[in-house]
Amino acid sequence: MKNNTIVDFKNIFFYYGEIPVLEDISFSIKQNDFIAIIGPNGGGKTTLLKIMLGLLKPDRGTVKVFGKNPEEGRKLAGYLPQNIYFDLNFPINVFDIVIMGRYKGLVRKYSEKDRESVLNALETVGMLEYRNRHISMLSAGQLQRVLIARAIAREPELLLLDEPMASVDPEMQKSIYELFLELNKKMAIAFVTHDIGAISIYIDSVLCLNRKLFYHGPKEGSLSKLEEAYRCPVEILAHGIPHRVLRRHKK
Amino acid sequence: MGIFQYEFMRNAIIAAVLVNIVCGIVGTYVVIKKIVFISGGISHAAFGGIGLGYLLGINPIVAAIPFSLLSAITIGLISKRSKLSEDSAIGIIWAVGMASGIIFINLTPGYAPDLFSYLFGNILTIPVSDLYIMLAMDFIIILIVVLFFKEFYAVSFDEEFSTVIGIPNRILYLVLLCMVALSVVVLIRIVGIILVIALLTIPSSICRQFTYNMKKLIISSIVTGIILTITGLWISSLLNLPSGATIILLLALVFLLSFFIKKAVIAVRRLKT
Repeated sequence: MKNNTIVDFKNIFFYYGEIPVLEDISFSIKQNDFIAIIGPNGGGKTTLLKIMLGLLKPDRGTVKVFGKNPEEGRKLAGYLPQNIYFDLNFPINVFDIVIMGRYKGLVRKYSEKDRESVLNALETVGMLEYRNRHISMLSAGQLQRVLIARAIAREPELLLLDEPMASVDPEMQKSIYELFLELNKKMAIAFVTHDIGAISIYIDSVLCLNRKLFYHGPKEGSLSKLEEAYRCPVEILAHGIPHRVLRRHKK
Repeated sequence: MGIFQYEFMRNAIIAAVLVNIVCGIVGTYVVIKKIVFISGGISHAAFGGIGLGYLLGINPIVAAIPFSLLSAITIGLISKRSKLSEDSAIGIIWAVGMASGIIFINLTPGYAPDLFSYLFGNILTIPVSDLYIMLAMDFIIILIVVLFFKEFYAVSFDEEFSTVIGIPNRILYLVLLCMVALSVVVLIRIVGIILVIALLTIPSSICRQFTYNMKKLIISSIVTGIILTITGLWISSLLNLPSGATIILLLALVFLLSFFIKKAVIAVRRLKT
């Protein structure tokens, strides 16, 4: 089972109106992969995840997820959306958010096992004691951890995370990365990040995206391609010093 | 309280209960999903259907059902699929519905019904047959919401995630708008377009300040709606004011008061801790 392909992109093109966001992207994600998707803002990272999940349809090319169309295949995926536009007044507490991850189909009730999985997921992200809290009483980082719990409560075979470390404090980041490493034994993980420093410690492969696919492979070979995509030296990126990408990459 | 011994008053109270069951349920979704104005658009578009009913010489409510379902689905599709902004779509359908209703009624030979009674309705002149229609509506809406509670809940909270986990988000959204449309049509003759919007919006807006639990929110909205509707009815008969408008102003007044009550509740809790 080691080399089973989970996600397969072939010559994907995607446009927002006339603006090309993804051009001729081909790659695959295999079982047990742990991939960081990196690239500058507007590079198409979130679009790529949404295509995998069937939330966006590519203009050209084919996508297969678990050998099926994304609309079918995504049922085996756990997803953490980027950026939170949630209504903090919405009548919902932490437990009820996470149990949505256990949804199995119309009219099926949540079982005792579902409830247990929710509590386990909350414990793993360190939010168990907040299970009865209303969403408005959480900090941004706490909410992010709850949403991570929702994604993993699904016990997916593919975990897709859009900037999972946004607003999470450094100590918690470390434990979440370690959690991902643990989960990675059971599932493929792909996540969008800007944290290039973390890649050197935890991740084994990198997918570097700026409209085109600049690099996909083991992290060791990625440095020069990263520079090409970001248009600035990796030392600057890796040390997390604020930098500006002076000009967009031109082909 | 002598007024409650009359039959029309008893019917009005039964209607208040039945109306508020629908409005408490549908209204809670309308409020948390922030589709108050979509609902407003659908209610006004239904007026076109009523006018058409008069023109064709059939029961206006029967004519309004397909009309408002159609406008609900149109608004739903436009707001999700097209580049036209949602509130523009609402504005257009709102205006077109009202305008066509007025033209249709104007073209109707003979007796022309009073537009005003459709804006504010008259809960005191409800025939028993309408009570049965409302009872049927209550059953349909309770059934849908009980069956698909967790789907509606998930979709209202996070459409994108719901789609990914396999909830038919678009269909449910259209079902929700159709529930709004159906409630509106059945309620128009009784309470009027404006009161429908008020009853869909205000009780849930009052109650959401005091509970974060969805089921409690629905139930408390129903109870609040019933109490305020009946109280409004009583005040209107005491002061000899139009019932629909009195109920709305009472709802708004209590909504205002609820802010201060909420503040007081928080202050008391702080003192305790």
